[in-house]
Amino acid sequence: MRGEMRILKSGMATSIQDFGRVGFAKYGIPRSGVMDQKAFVLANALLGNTANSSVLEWTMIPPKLHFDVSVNIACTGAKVIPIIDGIEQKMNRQIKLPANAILSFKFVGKGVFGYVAIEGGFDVEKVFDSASMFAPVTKNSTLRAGDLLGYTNREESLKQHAHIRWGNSYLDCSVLRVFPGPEFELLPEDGKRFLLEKEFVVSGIRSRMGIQLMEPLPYSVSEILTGPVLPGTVQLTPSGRLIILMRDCQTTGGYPRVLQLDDLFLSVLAQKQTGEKIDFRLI
Amino acid sequence: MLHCEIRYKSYGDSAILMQWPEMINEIILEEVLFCKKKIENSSIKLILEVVVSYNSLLVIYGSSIENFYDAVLELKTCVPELISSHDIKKKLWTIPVCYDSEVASDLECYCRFKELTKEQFIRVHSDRIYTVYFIGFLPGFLYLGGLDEQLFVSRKSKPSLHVPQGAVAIGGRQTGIYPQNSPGGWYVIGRSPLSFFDSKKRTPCFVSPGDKVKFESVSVVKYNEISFLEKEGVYVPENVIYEG
Repeated sequence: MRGEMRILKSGMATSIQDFGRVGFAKYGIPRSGVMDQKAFVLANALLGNTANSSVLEWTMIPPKLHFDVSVNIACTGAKVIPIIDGIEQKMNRQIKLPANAILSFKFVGKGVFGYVAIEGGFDVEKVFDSASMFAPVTKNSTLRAGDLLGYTNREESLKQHAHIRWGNSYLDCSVLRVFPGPEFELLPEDGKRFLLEKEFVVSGIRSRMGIQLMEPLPYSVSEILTGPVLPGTVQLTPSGRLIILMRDCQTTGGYPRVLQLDDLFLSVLAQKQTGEKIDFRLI
Repeated sequence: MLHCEIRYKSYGDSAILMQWPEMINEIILEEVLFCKKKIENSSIKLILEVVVSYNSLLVIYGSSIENFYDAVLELKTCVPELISSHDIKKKLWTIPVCYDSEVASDLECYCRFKELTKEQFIRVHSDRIYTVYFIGFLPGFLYLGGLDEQLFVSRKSKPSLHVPQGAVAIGGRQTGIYPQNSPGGWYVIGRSPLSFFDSKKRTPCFVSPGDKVKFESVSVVKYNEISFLEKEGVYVPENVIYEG
C-alpha cells in the first residue's frame, strides 16, 4: 500500500542518499552517496531491502517525520533514541510504525550522520543511476519541512526473528587506515613521519565535500597540475592544512594527494565530531 | 611507441593512476584520450570508470586490486603501440559570449589592470581556438587550454561568493565558463547564454574532452535572445568537425 512520509522538521542537511553515482566523473559529476556506508548497509539489511535502497540521512540535528501508512523502518548511524508517538524505541533494529505515526529523535551525542531506512526504500526518481541528492544533478541538495516522500509497504509482515550481529564500536575507532597517495613521496622524510605519527583533530570546517583537520603540516609540497581525486583522498594545501575529501567531493583537484583512506574508514571518519582525534596508520 | 613515458601508481586499493609528464600539451591530451578509449573498450573486467585530467588517467576498479603488478601489466597491454589520432572525431564549437559590463562584473577592472582597451581584449580572447582537456571542478566545467599569454592574471585575492551561471572568466593561465552559480576566484570578463550542464539529458554536457571551442562576441540583445531560446530548449550550439 502506498504511503507518504512528510518532513515536519527538516533537522540539519537532511537528504535522500544511496551508494551514489559511479561512472559520470567525465561530466564532472561527483559520486555522492551515504557518508556512513556501514550504517546504510545495516539499515537496509534490517528491513530485508535490496542493498542500494534509498534512505534518509540527517546531520547532527535529527528531523521530525510523519508517516501516514503503517510501515517498517530502521534507524542507524549516529546514536539516537527514536521516539514514536512519545514512546522511546531502539535503534539498529526493525521498528513497526502504526498509521499516522510521528517519529522524532533524542540525539545521544555520538556520531554525526543518522539514517532512517524504510521497507522497499523511498519512491524517488533516480538521476544518473542514483537517488542521492546533489544540486545541480538533482534539483536540490537537501530536504525541507513540508516535503513529501512516497513509500510502499509490503503486504506481508517482515520476519522478526532474523538476527543481525552488529557492533557500533567503529564509532569509537580513531585510527584510520591509509595508503600512500600519489604525491606522498614528494614529502620530506620528516613530513612523512609527522603525518603518520601525529594525532590530528577534526575541525569545524566540514561538509559532505570534505573535512579539514585542525593541525597544519609544517611541510609543503608544490601544487600539482589538476588531477583526478576520489572520496578519501587527503590533500595538502599550500598553507599546510590537510583536507580529507568526502563523498560529495569534486572529481579533480590541484592540491598534492598525500594519502588515500581505505574506503572502509571513510565511514569511521564521517562519524567523527568536530574536536575528535584521529590518526593515520599506513597499511 | 607513444611519445611519452607513462608512470603507473596505485591509488588506494582499488584504483591505478597512469601519469604522463606533468604539462598541459595537446600531444599528451591525444595520448591520454586514446588510451582511455582503449582501456574502456578492453576486456579487462571490473573497471568501473576511467577519469581524465591534463596528464593522467585514473582507472577505477569495482573491488580491491589483488596484485598491483598484474593489473599494471594488463593495462599496459591496452596501451597502443601507435596513436592514430584520426580515430577520435573532434568538434569545433562556437560559444556565444557577451563581453559587456552589464553582464560581466569584472570586465572593466580586468581591462584597466591589464592596460587593454575592451576592444583589444575581446579581439585577443575571441580570436583563439581553445582545446577542451577535461571536465571537472563543477558538473559541466570545461578545463580549456590555449589562453593567450597577454591575458594571464593571478586569481583574485578574495574569491567572489557569487559567480553566476554562464560567467566566462580568467584565472591564472586559464579561461573557463561557470556552468552553475558558484563561488569563484577568477575574473568574470563575459557571459555565455548557453547551458553547459543539463541533468535531464543522458549526455548532460554537449562538449567532450578533445573538442575545440571558439568564443564569438555577441551584443546584450543577442545574448538575451539566445538565453530565451536556450531556456525554451530550442537553441542548438553551432559546431563543425574540426580538422586540425
